[in-house]
Amino acid sequence: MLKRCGVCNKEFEPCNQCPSGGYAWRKTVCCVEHSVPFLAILEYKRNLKSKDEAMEILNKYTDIEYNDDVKKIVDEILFVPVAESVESEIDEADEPVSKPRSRKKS
Amino acid sequence: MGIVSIDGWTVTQWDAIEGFKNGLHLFTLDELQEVAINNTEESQDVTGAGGSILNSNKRNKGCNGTGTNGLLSGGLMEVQTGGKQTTKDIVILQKDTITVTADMASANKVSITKTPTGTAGAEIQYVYVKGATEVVTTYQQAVDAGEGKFAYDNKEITFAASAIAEGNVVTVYYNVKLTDDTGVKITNDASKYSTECELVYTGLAKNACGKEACFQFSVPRADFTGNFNLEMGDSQTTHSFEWTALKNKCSTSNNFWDFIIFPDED
Repeated sequence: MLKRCGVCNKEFEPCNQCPSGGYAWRKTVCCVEHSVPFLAILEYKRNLKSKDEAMEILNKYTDIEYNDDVKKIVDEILFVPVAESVESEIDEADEPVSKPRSRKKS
Repeated sequence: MGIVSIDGWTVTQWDAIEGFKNGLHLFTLDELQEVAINNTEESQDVTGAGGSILNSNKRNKGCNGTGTNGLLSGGLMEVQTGGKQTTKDIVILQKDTITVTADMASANKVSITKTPTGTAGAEIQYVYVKGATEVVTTYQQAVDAGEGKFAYDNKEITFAASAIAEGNVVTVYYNVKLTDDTGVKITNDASKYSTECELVYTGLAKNACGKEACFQFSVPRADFTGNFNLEMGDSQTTHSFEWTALKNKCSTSNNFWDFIIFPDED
């Protein structure tokens, strides 16, 4: 049974017989490269990684087209309130608004 | 009174079979149900005029044994498979069947009983939900719950809103790592083969006068085969075995076996 990659839209044949030791990526993602952002997203979702930690990893994988299952979480990781990044330029009374930080391509 | 002849004795009871490897005890089979020791030899006639037999060439002398123990033996399995028993790093399959309550349905969550082990993001992989119409829907694990997807974290499975309803039955299969020394495992590795060991059969013998004595039947090199069956039928699962005696080249005696009857007294 084909499975959709946990990161992108590619379908792949999952394998439960991956050698032990290391991350058995064939159970979750289509290629070994996608295992890194996948774990970052998963660990962020499970509160095992902070937003900044997850963002640092995802910013290294700017050419991935994330699937709809994770896109919302990815956006949540990569978007930060403007107030946080340009704090000094915003009037204290202004409501913070969101804008993407350093994401080159979705 | 000493015993000076095997004549007149009969074996009345097979007590146990002990297995050793270089002096190290491997197993004891003491619930023997069937025991057989078969001795074989081939002979070829040497014929003369008119086909009359002048002599015989003897060859292919051998001995093998078969038997069944009423209980399973881990040590015997080690010899038969070439594997090793361990009580560490054991992973078992867990099956949870959960009937969805109103609270679970409103929260879109069900809890599993144990902590799964395995690849992060694929600890459970699939969940099966049987709805009111008996139709089973398969859900796939994902980072977040969605259509046909569930998320897992900290013993909780989360579905998308309205995916499960009260009375649905959720079936979950996952792997659980046992605490060390709470279970035992033996592995039959495809690249390892059965091994040999020293066998000592023990039991009781009785002579025609009603005198009882002990016997020991020692096989210095019993080469076990990997052929054994674990079956269940009308009775319990038993443990069968078979071995072939090897010539003991390391000894000056070249014995296949020794059969000893002796009085059970100091």
